[in-house]
Amino acid sequence: MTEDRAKEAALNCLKDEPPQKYVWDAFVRVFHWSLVVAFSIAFYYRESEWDRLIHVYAGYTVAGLIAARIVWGFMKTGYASFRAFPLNPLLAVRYLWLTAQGRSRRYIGHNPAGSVVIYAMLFCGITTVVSGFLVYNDGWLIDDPGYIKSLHYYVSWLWLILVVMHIIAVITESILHKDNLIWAMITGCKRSSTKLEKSYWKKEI
Amino acid sequence: MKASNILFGLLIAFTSASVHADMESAQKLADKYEAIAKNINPASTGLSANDGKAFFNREITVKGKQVACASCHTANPADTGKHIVTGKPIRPLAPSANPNRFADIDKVEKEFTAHCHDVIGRDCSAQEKGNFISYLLSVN
Ligand code: HEC
Ligand code: HEM
Ligand code: HEM
Repeated sequence: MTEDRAKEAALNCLKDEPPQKYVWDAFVRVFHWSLVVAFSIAFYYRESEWDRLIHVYAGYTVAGLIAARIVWGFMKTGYASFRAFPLNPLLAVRYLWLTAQGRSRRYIGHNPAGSVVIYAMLFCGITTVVSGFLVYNDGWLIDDPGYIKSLHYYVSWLWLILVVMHIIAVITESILHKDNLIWAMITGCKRSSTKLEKSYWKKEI
Repeated sequence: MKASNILFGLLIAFTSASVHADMESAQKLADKYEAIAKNINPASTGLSANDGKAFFNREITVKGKQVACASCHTANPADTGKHIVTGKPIRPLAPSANPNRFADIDKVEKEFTAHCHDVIGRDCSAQEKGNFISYLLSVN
């Protein structure tokens, strides 16, 4: 069933002109845009006591999405699998360095710098959700004089900073590598490349 | 549940030593508001715990609902409150019942102001805030 559908999606990408490669499966795409919506709602309704329930339900939605994504990452899910984008800060720095010079190679899946930000966002997500749960339930089993509240506050703003970095990076990379990453996160298809590609930018200069 | 009760009891025992200091910082904040209130209105005759109590219990219309501070914080600020939107418990406001309240003046002032805006749609006046705190201090 699901394999048939994946095959169909891959064939759909091939129909594009020039033919494209199927990279982001339906789960990742739905996960991503649902996360964007739920995160935005939670952030927008963070402050008022009258909106507290909206905030909390949006937050729980984020929790569910992240939990599902982590399970998905441990499965054999191709480019979505954690194995496909290992956490490697050294490679990430190298990638940023090369990107600054306009000669980083294009990755079909997540690039090393993107991977670091993704893991950081997942970590912030877990911390935000757990601390939010604790604040909401008056510390639950922990008697807390306010540290958890501060944690919830700072970690969610940190997450927002990461999101801003994430969006800037996605746009930058889309321009540098002449790739529409945002559209790829909607359709799942990406321009395929078999050999290591130097950036087009460099060539044009 | 029992374990957390015991923990809570222990915490009260530990923190009761510092209760005095927190009453003091609440008093300091009240004094601050009193001075501001006098500045705004020279006819102000100081803080009144009674007015503070009336302010706490007075119902106003917010988003089409009749709400008072007491709706969430209950009629007695030394009791545990109940959030009218989420139904969650809110720790007591009175420093005598909750030594964590009013421990850090600057922080409290900021949160207090934001909270007034949020709940009643406007800031509480310095007189109202001062009255309210002296009411809290009078509650045992
Ligand atoms: C919708 C419910 C609700 C209403 C109505 C409400 N509060 Fe609160 N109040 C809360 C919650 C929730 C907290 C935070 C809980 C905590 O800190 O444990 C809080 C905390 C406070 C604090 C403590 C702030 C701090 O820094 O520790 C004060 C003071 C306070 N409220 C005063 C008021 C006053 C005055 C009014 C009326 C104008 C009011 N509240 C009405 C829900 C409410
Ligand atoms: C709430 C805000 C956001 C969060 C929390 C977030 C989170 C994430 C996460 C976790 C991934 C990894 C996807 C996976 O492998 O499962 C990702 C990828 C991606 N996101 Fe976001 N994102 C947000 C906003 C956005 C926005 C607004 C855009 C569009 C501008 C965007 C574009 C992308 C793209 C294109 C990818 C794929 C990156 C790649 O090709 O390596 N994201 N995002
Ligand atoms: C995407 C996830 C979340 C984000 C981005 C987020 C963000 C925030 C932020 C920024 C604040 C501070 C509000 C302020 O400015 O005063 C806040 C407060 C709060 N959040 Fe969250 N949150 C999330 C999830 C949750 C969850 C899952 C819960 C509970 C189950 C929760 C419960 C609360 C509570 C109770 C407060 C009020 C704390 C207070 O009394 O000041 N949040 N949240």
